[in-house]
Amino acid sequence: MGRFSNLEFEPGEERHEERRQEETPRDEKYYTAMARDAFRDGRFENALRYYSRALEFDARMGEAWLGQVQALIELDEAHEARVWADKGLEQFRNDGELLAAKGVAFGRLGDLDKAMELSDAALEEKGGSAYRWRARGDVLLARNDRNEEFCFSKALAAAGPQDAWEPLSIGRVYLHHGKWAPAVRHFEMATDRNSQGAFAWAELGRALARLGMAERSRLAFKNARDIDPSREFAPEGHDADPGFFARLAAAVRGLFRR
Amino acid sequence: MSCPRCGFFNFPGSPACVSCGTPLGHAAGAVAIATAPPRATSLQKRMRRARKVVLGTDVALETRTPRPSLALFALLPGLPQVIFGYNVLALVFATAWAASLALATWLFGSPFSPWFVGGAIGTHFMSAVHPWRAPVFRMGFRDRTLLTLTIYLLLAGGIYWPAFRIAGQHVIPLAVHDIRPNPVFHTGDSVLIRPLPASASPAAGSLVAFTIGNGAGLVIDRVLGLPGDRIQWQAGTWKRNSIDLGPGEVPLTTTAMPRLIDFVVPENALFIWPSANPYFGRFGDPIAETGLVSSKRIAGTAWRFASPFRRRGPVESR
Repeated sequence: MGRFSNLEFEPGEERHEERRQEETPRDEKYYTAMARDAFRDGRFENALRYYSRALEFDARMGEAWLGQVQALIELDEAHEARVWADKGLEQFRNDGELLAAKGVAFGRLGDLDKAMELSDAALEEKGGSAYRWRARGDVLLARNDRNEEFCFSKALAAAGPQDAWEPLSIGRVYLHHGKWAPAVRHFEMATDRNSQGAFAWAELGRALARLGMAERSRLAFKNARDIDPSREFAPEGHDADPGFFARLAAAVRGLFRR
Repeated sequence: MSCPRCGFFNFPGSPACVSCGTPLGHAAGAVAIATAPPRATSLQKRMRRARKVVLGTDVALETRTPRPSLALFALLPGLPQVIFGYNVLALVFATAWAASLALATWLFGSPFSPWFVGGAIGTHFMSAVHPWRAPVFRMGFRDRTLLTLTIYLLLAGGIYWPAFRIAGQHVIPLAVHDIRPNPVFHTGDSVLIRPLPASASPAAGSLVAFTIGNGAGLVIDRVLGLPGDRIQWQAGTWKRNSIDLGPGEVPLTTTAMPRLIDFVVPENALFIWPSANPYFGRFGDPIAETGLVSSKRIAGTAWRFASPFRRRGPVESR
């Protein structure tokens, strides 16, 4: 599969895009807004493509570079995210957000020392954002460090009391690291702040299903489908029960874990 | 990127302007920037998922942080993997290495033993080489290959081969067939033969392995008399230098014995009573028929090889 094979949009997406084009000029701001919407709606593939389009207009758009790295991480392609973060850092040397994203990629890859170094570097850079603290919490979670709660609270504070995306993102971080209960807590926070977010309801459903709360999970998925009937929110998927052998391997690994 | 001539906006990386055809690659400061990130194929994703399940991480070794402890690579199979966090693989390497050595030891003397020695070397080699993909050495493929080959030669040629060579000078593996100098060996036991230095002589009562010619291989039996000893058989009693032999040294077979034996063991010979040895007399060896074996035929002292991995029944005594 070539690197450009995913660049074509689905027909529905194109039509949707065309409709928006009638209203706004088709430039990097337009594609960045589209990408941001897609990203926050959990359509990471689309977000990636929109960010690529935005970069075609302006290759020095820091937000697009960062968005692509974040989307790759969300798509479970940490190797590629690391490579792309390096490429972004060639243009935006010592960019705090990109460093943090690269740290997350390293954390997802298992190089926890390197991840911590990058996270430290990101926090030392000027400026501050919720993402740097969220990334720090992600790395700490990967290290089995129990101080991630502090970092996430910093991220929530930086994002503001009405922001629904930050708790949703934090919940996804918890979900990735298999911490179902705090994930549910943050997804609930996200749905409280924005009850019309289909993606947040779907993620809440996933986390609840992991906790064994089948009825509440079903209701959460129902909410997600009611809000956005065009999308299929399935309770099962690639992150369903990994199976007996995966659990056995995890148990064996646990025996040798530091 | 904009065309320097007509100002038309072209996609980054375009070789020439779509509008006017001006080559953009030669435009001053033109830099082609890829805007689409690399993507993982579905196969890569599946492989990473499988690696994560098996190894506990899907990290590529190229991305791992180099550590000084990499110097410990050659010490123990599995250790590099522990350093890099490949715990399951570390267990596999260490187990394979230990099992190979254990089997090589257990089967010492059999034709299968070298195979397991080779397996141990291979495991050691693989474990040592595996993490060298880390960027700590910053090596290309050719250098890495040369270095791994060097490691292999160091391990195989510098450690294993000398060790087995030295051991081979001291022990000759031998399987006992039907000769059992009571009460040391059982049929099927493994025996190690320790070659004697040229000037040394085995102690009286010890077991030695010697050749009897005629291609009969090695025979193991007990030394009853050293050069200069006076051996006597009188009235059903064996004496060495007029002293009764101990019960453990008394030959088993006394049938067809002459009534009187009395001689002094000559130089360069040992008196070894044939006991139940079927070779004596059978091949017409004049020395062996008298129970005397030339020192030149002595291969060395014999020891039962007690493998810790093999259970044996109680030693019989007849």
